[in-house]
Amino acid sequence: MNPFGEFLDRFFGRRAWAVTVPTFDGPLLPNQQLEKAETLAVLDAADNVVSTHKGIVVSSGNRLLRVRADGDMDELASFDQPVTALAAARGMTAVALDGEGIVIRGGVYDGAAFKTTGNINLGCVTALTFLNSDTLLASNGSASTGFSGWRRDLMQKGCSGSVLKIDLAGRKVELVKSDLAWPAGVATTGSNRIFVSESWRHRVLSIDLNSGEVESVLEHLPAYPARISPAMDAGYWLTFYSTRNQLVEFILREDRYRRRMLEEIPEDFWMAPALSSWNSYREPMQGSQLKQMGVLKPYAVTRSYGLVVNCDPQMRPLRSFHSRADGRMHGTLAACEHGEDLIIASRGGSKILRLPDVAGGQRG
Amino acid sequence: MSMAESLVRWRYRFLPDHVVGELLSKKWIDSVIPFTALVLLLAIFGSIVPGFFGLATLTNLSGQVAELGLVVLGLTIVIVSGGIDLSIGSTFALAVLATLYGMNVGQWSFGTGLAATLAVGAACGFINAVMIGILRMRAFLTTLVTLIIFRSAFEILFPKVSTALVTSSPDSPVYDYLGLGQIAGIPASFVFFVVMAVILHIILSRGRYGWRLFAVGGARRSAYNAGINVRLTVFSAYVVCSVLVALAAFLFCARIGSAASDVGSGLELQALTATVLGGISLGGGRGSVAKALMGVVFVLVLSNGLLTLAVPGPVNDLTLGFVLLASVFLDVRWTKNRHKILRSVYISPTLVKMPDPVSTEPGTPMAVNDRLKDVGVIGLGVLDGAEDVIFDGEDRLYTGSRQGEILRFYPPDYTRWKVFAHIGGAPLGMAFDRQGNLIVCVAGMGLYQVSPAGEAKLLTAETNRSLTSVVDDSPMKLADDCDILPDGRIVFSEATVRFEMHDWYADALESRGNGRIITYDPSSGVTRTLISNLVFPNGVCTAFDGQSVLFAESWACRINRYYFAGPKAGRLERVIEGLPGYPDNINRASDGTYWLALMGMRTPALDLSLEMPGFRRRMARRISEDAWLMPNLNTGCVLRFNEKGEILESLWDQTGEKHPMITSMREHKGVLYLCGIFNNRMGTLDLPNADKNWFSSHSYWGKSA
Repeated sequence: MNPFGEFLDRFFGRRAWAVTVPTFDGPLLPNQQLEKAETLAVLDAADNVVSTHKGIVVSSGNRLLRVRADGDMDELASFDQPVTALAAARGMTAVALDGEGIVIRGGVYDGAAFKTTGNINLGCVTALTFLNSDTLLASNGSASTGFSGWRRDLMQKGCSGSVLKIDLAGRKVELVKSDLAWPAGVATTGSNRIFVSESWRHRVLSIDLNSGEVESVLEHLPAYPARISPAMDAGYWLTFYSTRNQLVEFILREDRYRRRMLEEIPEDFWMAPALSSWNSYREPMQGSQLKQMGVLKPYAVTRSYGLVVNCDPQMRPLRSFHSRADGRMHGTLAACEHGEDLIIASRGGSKILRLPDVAGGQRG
Repeated sequence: MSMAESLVRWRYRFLPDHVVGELLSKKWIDSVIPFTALVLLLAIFGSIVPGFFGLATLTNLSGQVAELGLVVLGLTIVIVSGGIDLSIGSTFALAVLATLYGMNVGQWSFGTGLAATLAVGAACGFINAVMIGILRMRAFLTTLVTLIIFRSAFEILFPKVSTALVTSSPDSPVYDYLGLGQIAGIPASFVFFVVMAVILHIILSRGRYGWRLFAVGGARRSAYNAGINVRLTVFSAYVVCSVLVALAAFLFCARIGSAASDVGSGLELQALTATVLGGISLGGGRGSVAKALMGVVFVLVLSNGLLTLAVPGPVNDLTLGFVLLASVFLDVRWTKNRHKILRSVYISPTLVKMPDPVSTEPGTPMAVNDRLKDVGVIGLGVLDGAEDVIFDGEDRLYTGSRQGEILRFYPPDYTRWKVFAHIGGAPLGMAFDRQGNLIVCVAGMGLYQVSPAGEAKLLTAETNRSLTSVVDDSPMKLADDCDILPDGRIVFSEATVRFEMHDWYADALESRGNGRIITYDPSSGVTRTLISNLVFPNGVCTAFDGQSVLFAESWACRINRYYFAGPKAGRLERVIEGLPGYPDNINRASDGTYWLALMGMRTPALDLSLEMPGFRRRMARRISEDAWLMPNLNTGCVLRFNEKGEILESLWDQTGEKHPMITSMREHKGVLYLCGIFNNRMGTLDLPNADKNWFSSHSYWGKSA
């Protein structure tokens, strides 16, 4: 691209300078199902739900809790740092701690710990999943910040994330793919390929573990994808940080404003995607968010959103569950199947939600 | 402050960006391109053609201007009416033949000759007019055919009389005078033409006939629906056009005295080029005499200049053809894109550096609380667009509605209501005068008075136009809040002169001083602008001292005081600066302090963008209004301050569940009533420490009122 063309694109707002955002359409057509979902438990900073045969394990800040069917919770463990990712299989629990690394609890590798070394970054593990009983897959969002810095990384157009393969027996960490824009979720398939959601580029990649070949399987998403959790029918549950917002897309192209915003304004008041909205009167407001007759329209633009998408084994969306601009169940970063139920952690809404009978391979 | 920063400041202070948009919305902007082209052409030929501005050249030119001018004016009338006349060259030739034959061979008098010529013109025009106006045939094809017919007629007749034409000469001193005489050094024909042009200008721009022509050309169907006789109007346009062409032929004969066999050929190209070049849209409905003249001068200067430079005739025509092509292209692009350009450049944000907001930390008077969370409610589901509220002596409550009505709620519980008066525009600020009339600001309509019987009367809708205004700023776009001085004058704010009420957020985006404070004197009926260039002036309240008014500037987040009497008369003072939100209405409180509504709160992200006008301008162009960064109007607040501008207390609804936006509040007998223009309710809050008998009209006009 010649510099003059770049200038013209910028002037007319074309190509890379277009600030258009895909709409929620087709299987992503908005509904209010997350708003209507049953509340299993109220939990601040609810995140990382994992189904084990002893019940649902969930993280909340530094703590790891087990949620019983009636909503009561027992604390399983407590750490020095917030839990950023969680995986459980065959009596093993892999826990990622913000800025620290990964520790294994239980099973044959109990106590194994992995930390950042050299070009291997484990300070911002966004998702964990077991490839087999001896191998763990991890996605590390960014080399420069911890998980709590996700908004900064997004607004700085960060691109230092990586996907890692951890050999538990050999205590070795191998780099699978680097230079990703915040890989936020990782999932296995039946083959050598794995799925990785590359959040800031709004897509899901398929990476071949043998050849290293990368292919985009789901692109132009209208939201920032987060974790990928397997479904019983070989499909997946894809969760999201928040929806894309035209103003945010615009600010991402406005370097001077973006730089000053990151430097001068407290993070809570940035014009950036968030896990929840309306926590302070100093948060930015956009045109369509103006309450008319006391009502905030569900179709208003929003910085925070709740979205869980059910995908088929090829990562094609089949159906979706939403909490829209007028809702509270935002920042749904984790979901897992538990029997016939889908359990969802809404970090923005501080709740564990239960959607009965949507899992188990049934199609609505 | 860095050098670059001061430069940016200087640029936004002294370069009036907003004027660009205002200029583009002017009607005469269409003529700017042709005018510039004309000036350039004059400059070029003036410098390269010797004797270009000499007396001989100018005399010759003015004679030609008179002839081509009349033809172009005729064509202008046809094009404005939505048609086209290609047969003007042939009509011209026939009229020349008639004139020469009558004056030279027939030795007719001036009057007879002129009448005969005009009759020939009218006859040619009549043929066109019947076919196009009455039979509704296509103008382009019809006149193309009549061009050939008239030309053939000319070519059949001309050889039979050509010898006679040359061998005789006219016998009419008036005719000769018209051709060669001068009035104060100016050719008589040119003077005659100027008179004709002025008359036509008046008819086209001021007369009923002109108005009908424009209506038919601009929107034929609408003109028909409006009751205009479309066929007759079109019919008349062709006749008038051909008569003017014949008149031009008469002048031509008087000046030249003879004719060649190719007289008038190629005239349609010249005339069309002049018309379109002047900015008369081929689509119809747009044009003026001045534009036509501009085109005429351009074409003549170009062709005469090229002639003097010894450029061959065909090249000359070729040049004209290219000029015509270019102007048609520009005409199409301009008509199509003008509104787009206007829309994208009209909003022009300016640089604002907001002072740090007053702290809202716990322990300060502005500390965030939830005192408005549990308040009483009035008119839930009834109110829509209640911006302000006021009470009369019988405790009846008055408020406005979006439908253009003033509603009256009855005590004691304010559940019963009826429409008190219908105004038709959204009522905003309200005040009661000494006689008990309700004075109300109406968005888009001005200042109104409603009598106790409910009869609405316009007080004023216009103020004096400011000297520097590009677009006439005398009509009121958004009268916002009013109050009454002890001497009976009404002081009110007009929030912005650049936007309508429903575009308030565009004004917030600009954050320029677009508003003003106006006074209206009911005794003399005079309206004057008191202070201008205010940033969305909003609430107005006469101070307890009887010498000053307090008013809020919303987007600047400050409260000012203007003295209209006393030792400080005419002075403007800052009372509060750096409010954490956007101030709206101000009203008196029972204890000698003032209530102030904050319609919304400042957000750091928006405050930062105010320092970056370019960012806001691009945002306005690039992204949908739905996604624009806006003041946070979903959290409102009411605060109380004293004469010194100290904030005493604040009342919040933090989550904005019941009162997201608060535009006004009024204390009445120990209760505070809260309004929000976008809200579906009015809130009531008991004030335990307030005077239970306090009533605002008593505070203004004494107990007797």
